[in-house]
Amino acid sequence: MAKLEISDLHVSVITEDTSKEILCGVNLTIDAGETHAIMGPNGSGKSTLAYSLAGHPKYRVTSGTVLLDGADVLSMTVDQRARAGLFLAMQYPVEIPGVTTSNFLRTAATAVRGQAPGVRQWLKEVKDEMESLQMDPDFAQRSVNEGFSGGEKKRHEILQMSLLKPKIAILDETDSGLDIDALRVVSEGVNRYKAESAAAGEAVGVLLITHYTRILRYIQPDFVHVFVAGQVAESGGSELAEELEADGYVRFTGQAVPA
Amino acid sequence: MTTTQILNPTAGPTLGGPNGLAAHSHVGGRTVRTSGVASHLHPVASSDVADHPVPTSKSELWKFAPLRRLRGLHADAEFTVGALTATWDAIDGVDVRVVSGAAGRALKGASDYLPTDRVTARLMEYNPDTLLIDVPADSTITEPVVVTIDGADASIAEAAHVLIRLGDHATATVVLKEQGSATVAHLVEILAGDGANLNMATIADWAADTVQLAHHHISVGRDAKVKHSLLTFGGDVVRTAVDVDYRGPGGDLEMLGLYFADAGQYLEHRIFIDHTPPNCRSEVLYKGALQGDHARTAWVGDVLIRAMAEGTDSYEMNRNLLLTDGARADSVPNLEIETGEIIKAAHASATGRYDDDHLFYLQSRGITPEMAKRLVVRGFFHEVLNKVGISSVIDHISDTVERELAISGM
Amino acid sequence: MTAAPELSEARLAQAETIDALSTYQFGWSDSDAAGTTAKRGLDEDVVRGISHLKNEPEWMLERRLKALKLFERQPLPTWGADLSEIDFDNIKYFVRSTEQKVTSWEDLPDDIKYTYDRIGIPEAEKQQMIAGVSAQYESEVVYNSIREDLAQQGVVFLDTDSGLKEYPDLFEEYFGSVIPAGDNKFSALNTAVWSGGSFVYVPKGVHVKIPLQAYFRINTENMGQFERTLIIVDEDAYVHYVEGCTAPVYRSDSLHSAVVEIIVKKGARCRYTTIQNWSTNVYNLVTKRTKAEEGATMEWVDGNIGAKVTMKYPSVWMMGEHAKGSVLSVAFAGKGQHQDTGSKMLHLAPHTSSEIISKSISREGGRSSYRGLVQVNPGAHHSRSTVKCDALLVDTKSRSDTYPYVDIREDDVTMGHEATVSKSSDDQLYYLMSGGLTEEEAMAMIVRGFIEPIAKELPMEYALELNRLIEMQMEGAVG
Repeated sequence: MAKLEISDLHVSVITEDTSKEILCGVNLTIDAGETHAIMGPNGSGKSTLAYSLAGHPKYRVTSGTVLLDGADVLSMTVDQRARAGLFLAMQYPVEIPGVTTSNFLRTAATAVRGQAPGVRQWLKEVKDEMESLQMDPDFAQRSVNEGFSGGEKKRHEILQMSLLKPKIAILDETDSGLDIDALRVVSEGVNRYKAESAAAGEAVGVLLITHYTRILRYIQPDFVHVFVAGQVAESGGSELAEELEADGYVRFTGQAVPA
Repeated sequence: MTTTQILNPTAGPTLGGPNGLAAHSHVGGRTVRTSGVASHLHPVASSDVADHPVPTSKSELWKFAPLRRLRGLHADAEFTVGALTATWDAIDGVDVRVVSGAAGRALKGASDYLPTDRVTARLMEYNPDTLLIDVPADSTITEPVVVTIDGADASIAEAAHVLIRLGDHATATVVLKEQGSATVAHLVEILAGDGANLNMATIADWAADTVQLAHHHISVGRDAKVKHSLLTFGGDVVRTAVDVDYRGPGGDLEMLGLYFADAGQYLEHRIFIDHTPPNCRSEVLYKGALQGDHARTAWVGDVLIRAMAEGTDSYEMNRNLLLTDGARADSVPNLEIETGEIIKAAHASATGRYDDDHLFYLQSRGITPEMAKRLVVRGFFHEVLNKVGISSVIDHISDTVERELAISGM
Repeated sequence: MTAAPELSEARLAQAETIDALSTYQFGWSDSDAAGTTAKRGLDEDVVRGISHLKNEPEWMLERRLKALKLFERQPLPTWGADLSEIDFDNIKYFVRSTEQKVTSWEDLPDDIKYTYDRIGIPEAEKQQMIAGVSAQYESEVVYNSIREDLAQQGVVFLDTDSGLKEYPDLFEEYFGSVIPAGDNKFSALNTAVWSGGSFVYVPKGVHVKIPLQAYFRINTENMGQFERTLIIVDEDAYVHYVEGCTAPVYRSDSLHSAVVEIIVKKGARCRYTTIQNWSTNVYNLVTKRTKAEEGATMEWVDGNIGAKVTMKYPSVWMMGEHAKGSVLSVAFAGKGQHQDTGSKMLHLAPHTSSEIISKSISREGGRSSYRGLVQVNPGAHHSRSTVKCDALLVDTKSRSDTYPYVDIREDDVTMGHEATVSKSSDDQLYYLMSGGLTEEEAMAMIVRGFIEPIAKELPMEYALELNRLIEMQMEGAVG
């Protein structure tokens, strides 16, 4: 069973002129089948954690370890991490002109699965998933994320998760910018994949990064971590989310931050 | 029925025959036409070779070209009867043939074209033969007319002339495939009659030892629609200049270009669109990729909107993707505008490399860096290819792009 | 148009023949006491004479003579505006307007004071808006004042001739180090006959809070003005230098050919603002270039309103990592004018970035051309450049050209160029006129909106001056 272990992770962001430490010793373990919610105010480093785990070149890990089933994630290239079973649903998926979504999905599935899926079975698989996510089949013929609305981009991220079947899924503010219907559809997609992967004996571990408690009504977390100033400030169960809902982050930041 | 014919004069050059003069409005044996608009970009137009001095690296229109690699084609290389052939399959309703001698000479400048450089002036003087692709007025030809031009010997200098003529309200698709080894001066005249609709693509996929100096002249009839695609891959040095003018209002021109330069290769495209009649449209989209040491491209566009060309709608865009170190791309999208009474005149040029965020996104889905780059390059060209609208050309180019990408191990 | 006092009968008669005078607000002229005796034409004697009169060191004379040879050898450029009508033999290359420099306003001769009153220098001083005024009248700087606190900070703001005398070492090190004499025909000419201009040195870490200003005028008929400006901004320092030009109208063509060299050292920042409003018989052929070292920023803000022909392409050579260059330029081409302006950006080090924003307006048959070069050399990886050109043609007989050369020799760069040409739309005019504006006012408002991005980068009084100039230029634009 899958296990992601993050130990004492320090990460700096590299800008044009400077380098600034954003993550200051993150410790977190996610086991198969578990859903961990990471909540924190803007600028606390939540997204940095997500991008660092996926290996974005803008972030430099200065110390610490990340192990996926014992294997050293930090020494892997971006694509190796994905093939090892790590998936990041991005907050701001980029538009890639000229690359059709269908071509992209099939190329990615081929890479992750190690062989090209059979054409007929693949088309059905994509069609079914898109239907469940209430996506227009036309999307497959459009360029990746190009001209997609915010909600469509997020559905597309969840579609990729369902098709690539990761061991650990990191959802970076997947709820931001979604109206309530889209939030429900996207959340159902996540829950469906959780159930399917569990049924297949490969229960996914989910790291849900969010600013709001709203999505937690749809995706039940097993653990809630409050993230402040590049560290996990406190961990608890879903009752912690309820406290944040009521009081905001004041107790952790010492200042009133609009939730 | 397939026909193959030599494109060079079969009986040697016949210089200055009486029929040759009939094609032009010569006065005292020469015609000189200038653009009438002061600019360093506008050469003199004249059929007299003496009006075109041998260009040097200081000449504005030749400043990017590696003159020493042109085998004298730009200067005085002697044209000889050579081995350049044209091959085509007969298609009902289209007259494709090589017209020789006086009749061929009479077709020189049929698109109301006067040479704007020495190489074309010499070509027109030397070679009386014309490969004519003639589509009668009011006919609609659905099947693409495909003519393959094949070179067999790069050690001799050759000259070739092609005339594509669509009568009024004719519709046709024409593909020129250029391949093989050659040192060739090439003139392609394109005459679209009033209300005609031409979709034309040229695939320059020469062997690595080819030097080609080509000139396309497009004359767009009143309310005619012309799509001109130029897809340049092979050759050592390939320089193509495309001149466009409109014979009446309502002309609609779409120009597409795609080029891929490898190590040591030089590919140049120069486009001059002369808007004189009102209410015409021009839209230009050229994309190029470069890889390897001393891969070099130059793209120079110039849209001239004259004072009388009110209601003009014009856009030109050039994008270059540098895939490796050591390559160099020049891009100059010029605009010269003499009236404000226009719908739009805009141009844009961008040169860069892969977008790191694109690569990251693709790799984060398990796609290897090489494959990710490949997807991005394909995607980069996709926008152009999608618009070409001739499926055999799209297939051919897709394969060629894959072949090019394989060179740098993608 | 009010006549200047003390105009002689002859001058008045001459003034009547000056056709453009009535349309050019700053086109009065005062008595030509200084200009009448200066020699026309250029030869070695003229160059030696200039150097001798200025009591220059030998090395400067040698540079001048070498430059003269380069000038004679180089052909006129064939790619820009039409320069064939310049008669180099009919130009005065050196004119001395007063025998000695003055240090206070009261000491200025009356006619010069009058001229400056018309431009408004004393008002600007009174308002404490100007950090130092170095007003160039004809070929030499005659009035020079700098505020005490700047002097105390070690900021040097002198006319270039004094700079050469007082800081010979700095001068020999930097003079011609950014723009060698042989760079182009006109930099050679300037190097041979230069006179006047500003010399600025800002020491390490000093931030000059208020702009340094200098006014330049050409006053003698056919007189070339060849000022030479050298600005050195030492590490982490900042300065904003403002140059403004207005010139009276004369019948035959005048030549202005300046050279401005700027060195911006590590981490420093320099902004150089010009509003050029030469009268429409002046050939304005100027070479301006900056070398920007590591982390340095150079900003050119360049307004070209007047002159018959302008050829000016302020450049930044980004020599060190993370250097930045920008040009904000607005050109206004009216009747008989050709504004051929743009920029050159040379990326010579990694992580350098440049931005060119060019706006031009052409009317009454005027021609404005953007001519630019962005070059990214091998090794200048992670460089970025954007170029935006907008041109507004307000009638059907004017012309706008865009010649944007881009030369990329490095794969790891981002480069973009965009240009649009538009006509002020009838809809916009109608909308504004329905609000009660006259057509002229409406047009002026559209034009102001068009150049607003540039105007807002100018110091307040310059923005106001630019607006006034635009309004003047737009008079009679309608109909």
